[in-house]
Amino acid sequence: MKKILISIYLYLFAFVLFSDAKPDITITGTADRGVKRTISLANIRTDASHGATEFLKVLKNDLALSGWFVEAVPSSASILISGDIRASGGISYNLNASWLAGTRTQNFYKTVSLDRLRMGAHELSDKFSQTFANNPGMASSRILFVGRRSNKEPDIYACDSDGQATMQITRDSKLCLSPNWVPNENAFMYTSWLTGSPAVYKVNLNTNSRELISSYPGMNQGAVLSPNKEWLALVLSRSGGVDLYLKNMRDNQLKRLTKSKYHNESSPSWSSDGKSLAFVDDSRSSPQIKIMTLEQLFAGVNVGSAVLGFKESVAPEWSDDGQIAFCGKTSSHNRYGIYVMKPSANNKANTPKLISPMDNADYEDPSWAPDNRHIVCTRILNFKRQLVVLDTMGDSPRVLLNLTGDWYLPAWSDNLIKN
Amino acid sequence: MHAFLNKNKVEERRMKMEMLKKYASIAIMLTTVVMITGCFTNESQDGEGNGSINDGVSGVNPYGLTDGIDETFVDGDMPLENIDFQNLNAVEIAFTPVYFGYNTFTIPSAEMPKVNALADLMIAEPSYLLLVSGHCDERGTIEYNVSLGEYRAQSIREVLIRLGVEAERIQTVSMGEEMPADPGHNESAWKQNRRSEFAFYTR
Repeated sequence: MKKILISIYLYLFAFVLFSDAKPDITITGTADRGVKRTISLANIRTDASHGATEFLKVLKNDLALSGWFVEAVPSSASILISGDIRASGGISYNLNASWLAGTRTQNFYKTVSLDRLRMGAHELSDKFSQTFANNPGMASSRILFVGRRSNKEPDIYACDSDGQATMQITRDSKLCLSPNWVPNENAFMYTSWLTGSPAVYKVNLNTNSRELISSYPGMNQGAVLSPNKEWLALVLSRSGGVDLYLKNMRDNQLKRLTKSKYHNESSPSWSSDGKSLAFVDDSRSSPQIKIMTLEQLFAGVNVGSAVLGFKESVAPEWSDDGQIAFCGKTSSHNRYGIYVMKPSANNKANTPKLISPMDNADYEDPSWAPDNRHIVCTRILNFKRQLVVLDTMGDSPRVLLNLTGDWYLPAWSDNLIKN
Repeated sequence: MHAFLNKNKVEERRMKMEMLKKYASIAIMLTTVVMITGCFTNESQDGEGNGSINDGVSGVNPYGLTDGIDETFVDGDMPLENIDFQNLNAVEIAFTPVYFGYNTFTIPSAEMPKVNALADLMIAEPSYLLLVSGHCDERGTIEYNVSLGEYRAQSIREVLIRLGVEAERIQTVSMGEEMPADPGHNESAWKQNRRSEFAFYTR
């Protein structure tokens, strides 16, 4: 009961706190191009309660944001949903789905507590994405980011994938960077200047605890765990130069992967199989992405850039299905844009595709949604930072947060991260 | 499988001494971190109330500080020491920053007299410990600028060491683009923001 009251209190407080905020950018993007299923929710009945109405509203919005559905009237919809959503000791839904001209039917039912109303709707949306579009969806994921409201020092925040339920996670008012989710945990790592020098901390969102992970002398940054959580990749300057390291999380042994005294390494990202790392290296005078297997890194093999034809390529981020999103700048477009490519089997260079608008803004820090389709990134225009969600299949970009402030360095979680 | 370099015995002795010093500094750091975390917890309990870790960020498990034998230093490295600046006495000296060009950590020749003067001061005052901070202008990605700021601080440190200042008296910290000297968004401001600053301490 206490937990429910706290959750309601936090939700209401977050609403009050952020309700006066206004969006400060508008993006015009490309027209919808993704293949969409027509779905009708017109035959869903709700009781008069606010909870049931809100549940349906969140569900409809999630389905639209998923990119896989467009709402239609029953007569022209390929997927028909009918049934009831009621508030009785929580939110109960009992829905019937009919698709493929009635040849397929399925029942969806569950009761969720009021404090999990939004997550319950998100989970149902993801079930629809999986069932009707054969895609995991992204609605029940969360997004971490660094935020600076007014002129305050930055802190870590989190919101739902629809940009709602924004919560402040830390309240240190200290420089902080690089929040990265811990695989399969409701926890993240980040770099904070909490004690004056940068150190890596892990925050467990279930237990509200924070532990120190790495505080070597000098820089400790970009910490990201391998999918099996055996290795922590991070950037340290303890040797007197900025280098990429791996830390074994079982025995805490540190392995130095690069020894480039006058070159800069940053932004490591793991492949989904945990066998390769993408990172940024500026040994060729400008920062460029390299992709190397652990064997190559351990053996000290030097390989060329993974991305060709860019003045700069930085901030690589690997998706679960093997795509790499990154931030690039070309000689013809002197702004950072978000590009996507799929490396070949031997990690050789590939032709990237631009997915951010060609406007006067810079797009940086991409992070993949669990649907392997959407990307959240930082959009910078006139030195103002906002988070936007891009669609690799062509839907228009959307601003994630309608809040005043500077919001940047987003990290998208896997699905089903519990509040 | 792993290509780590073997060290000679002298290097091993040096590493052992470093480990001893490291563990001594760990004790000091743990105390500091626990104290800071205590402040964090208390502060958040009467805070705005919308944070999700208001109710019990409790303690810090510092397992990252208990690393085993470190095999990673190689010839040419100038390893940093743990210096707990929070428990040192600040010395008020306003030393002019050293300024850098765009996207570089090479110290311009015009700025070298400042570094020489800094080395002279550190040699004349052997009780001084120095914290060199590296800063960047706002162009470029945030994370890249943190690395660049670190290199700017490290390049100053390296020159000071070559000029005769003991390595263990100099620590670096990068602030990236987050602490601009001039908040403007033009070349004149950026020029002021690409810099290294210096803070002096005594034990």
